[in-house]
Amino acid sequence: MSGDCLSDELLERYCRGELSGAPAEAAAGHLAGCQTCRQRLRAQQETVELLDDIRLVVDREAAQPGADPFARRHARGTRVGPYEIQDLLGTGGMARVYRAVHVRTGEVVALKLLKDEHQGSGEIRARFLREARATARLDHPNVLRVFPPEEDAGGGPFTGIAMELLAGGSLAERIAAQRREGSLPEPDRVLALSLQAARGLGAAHSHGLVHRDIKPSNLLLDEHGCLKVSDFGVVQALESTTWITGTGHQIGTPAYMSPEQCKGEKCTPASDVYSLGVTMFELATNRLPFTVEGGSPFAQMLKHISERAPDPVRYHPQLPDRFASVILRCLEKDPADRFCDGDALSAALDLASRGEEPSAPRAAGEGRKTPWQMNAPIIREQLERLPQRSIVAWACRCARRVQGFNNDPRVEQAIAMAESVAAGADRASDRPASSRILARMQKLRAASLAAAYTDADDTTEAAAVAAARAAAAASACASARCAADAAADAVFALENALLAWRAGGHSSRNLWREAQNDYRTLRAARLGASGTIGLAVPTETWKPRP
Amino acid sequence: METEPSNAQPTQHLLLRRVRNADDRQAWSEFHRIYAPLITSFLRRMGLTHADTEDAIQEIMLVAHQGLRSGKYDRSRGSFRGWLYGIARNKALVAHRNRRRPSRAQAPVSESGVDLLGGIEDRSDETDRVIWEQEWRYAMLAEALRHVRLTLSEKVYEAFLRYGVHRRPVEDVAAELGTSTSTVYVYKARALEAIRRWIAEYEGETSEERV
Repeated sequence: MSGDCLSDELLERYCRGELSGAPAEAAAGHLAGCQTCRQRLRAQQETVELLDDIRLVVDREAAQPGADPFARRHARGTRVGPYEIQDLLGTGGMARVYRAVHVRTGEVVALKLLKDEHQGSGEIRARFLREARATARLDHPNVLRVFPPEEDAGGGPFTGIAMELLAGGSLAERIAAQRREGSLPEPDRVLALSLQAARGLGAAHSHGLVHRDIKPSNLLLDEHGCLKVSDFGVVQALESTTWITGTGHQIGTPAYMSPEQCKGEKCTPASDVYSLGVTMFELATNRLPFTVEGGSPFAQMLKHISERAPDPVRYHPQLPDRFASVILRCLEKDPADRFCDGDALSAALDLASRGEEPSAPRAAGEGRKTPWQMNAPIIREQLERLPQRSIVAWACRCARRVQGFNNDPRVEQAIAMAESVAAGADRASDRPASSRILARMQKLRAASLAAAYTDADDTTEAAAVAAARAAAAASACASARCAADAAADAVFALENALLAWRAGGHSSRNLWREAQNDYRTLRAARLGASGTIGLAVPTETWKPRP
Repeated sequence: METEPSNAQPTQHLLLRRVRNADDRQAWSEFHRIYAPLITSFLRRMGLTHADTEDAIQEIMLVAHQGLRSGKYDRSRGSFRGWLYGIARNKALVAHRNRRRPSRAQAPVSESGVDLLGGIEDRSDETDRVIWEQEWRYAMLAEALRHVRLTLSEKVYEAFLRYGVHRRPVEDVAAELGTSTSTVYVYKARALEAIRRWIAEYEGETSEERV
């Protein structure tokens, strides 16, 4: 250990997020360059957990009858406002949570009380109660119920938040147990839990509340495994795990923070979607999307801002693609690329979960839904977020993948048209499109689609041609600056490509996988102003792999 | 009132062997002191009422005692921790069933007709086990604290408690105890080390037991 290595005490404060400003940056800077200290930091994290557990044990014993009078103020049987304390359940940075019973109604609740040292701060108390009132208005099965604040028996205000008491612990405990056992959870189970979290979040968002600190320890379970989102807003003011910036402004928990939070920008419902994305990733794979050696909060935040999230399927191969793509979309850097709020996310998860369900036979005689159809709405939404030339490129790739079967000149023609239209739009992109050009593009689209529909049937050739024409239609839409239509046409292109693929005797699953790879490649390529369709779509004919 | 801890480090294995001996009343009271609070907390967190917990705890201790005496608990077939968990959880489920009322929490979660909770069984063993493991750790820590407190000087223990556990400013703690801040750091580390060692030794037997 060299002279300027960090002391154990400093490391512990660093782990606890107690350092701020220059000392925090100095510590982070040292950790970045010193492997010994990074290893010691890991050991120190274990110490912090141990000390926190000891604290709970000590507090619990202090609350027992017979303990010293100073600590016994909140012992079993004490009255606090309209409640009678029963047991100590947990201790946070600034508050303690007790099991308590309402003296009049007999209702058993979790009662959160500010610690003595914070009772004096008017600002903290006011915030504590304001958040309690805001959350009390929410009534949703997936949101932890908070009872409206009541007056003290003596008529004075009473600084406590009474909440529904749940017996099942939190997702953090569940993830810890999974890690200990080294077992990966059933994807369906993760999906069911995620869906409930998204619904709870959606309810809050529709009331104009943003949580800002979604993480596994705030997602609680009741004894039946039903999930409830807890600690709306309250947590920001109260938990010690929140990271404090140099200015003393608390903004969240680094491991789960959205890029905009890391940058100190405004939190929106999409920020909660991101944090839930991190949580779903962790619940599904037992690991965080962004891991930092030594757990430096700064390095962690930097990764949220700049590093692409890995595919969760890499760490849990049984995870269905449709679920993985929902998680990845939550982890998009740009809030506009994510689901806009909890409800949008829960709709997507709902679709993903219903993918398991056998569905009514299709008119074409297909007995089961293919993976693509189950996800069409999701992928269409995802495509919409891509730059428009990427949508066209994706559609063209779908069409090219079936071209290998028959080398139909009509397919080449349609793809060539799509490319030339898009390339023309590329060149013209710096000029505002005139209404005449837009009208022409719309006509072109209508013609392409009409041709595609006429040809679409179960034969390989017709379906392949239809796919290419749909790609052309997508291109026309993109040129007309209509991402939604372009995405819909691109989906139509893939559907036709799937038909052709199957009619050619190939498993549609392979094409589905290729299409998804294409999507990821294109998304990574980020075809911006400098990208062109010609570069994105290789000109050689794509042969289907056996 | 409190039983004097023996000089040698007590281990779970040793304690369980002593409990089998009907004449060793001290062993039984030690057993009760360590495991009764653990089971109480577990039952409360399982959602049992205060009264139900009091009843169940008696039954569980009785079953555990009989099981140890009669040799029903077999070391070779699993850990004591797991065995006790089985007894406690069973009793808790029985108590639950006896007074089951429909509650908000039991309302169906899914409106799409798919029972999304289908995969999550009615009362999941997984959740209960996590709670149990946590309470077990707390019980071990409580017992470790009891022993460590007796072996360390009061100043060392207080420094640990005030600075290490309650996170009071180190300068304040040093002033209260009439010592330097660096000594407070040393005291804290010493107590922490003693607690770790105690748990490792007590549970060392537990892991051997599992083999």
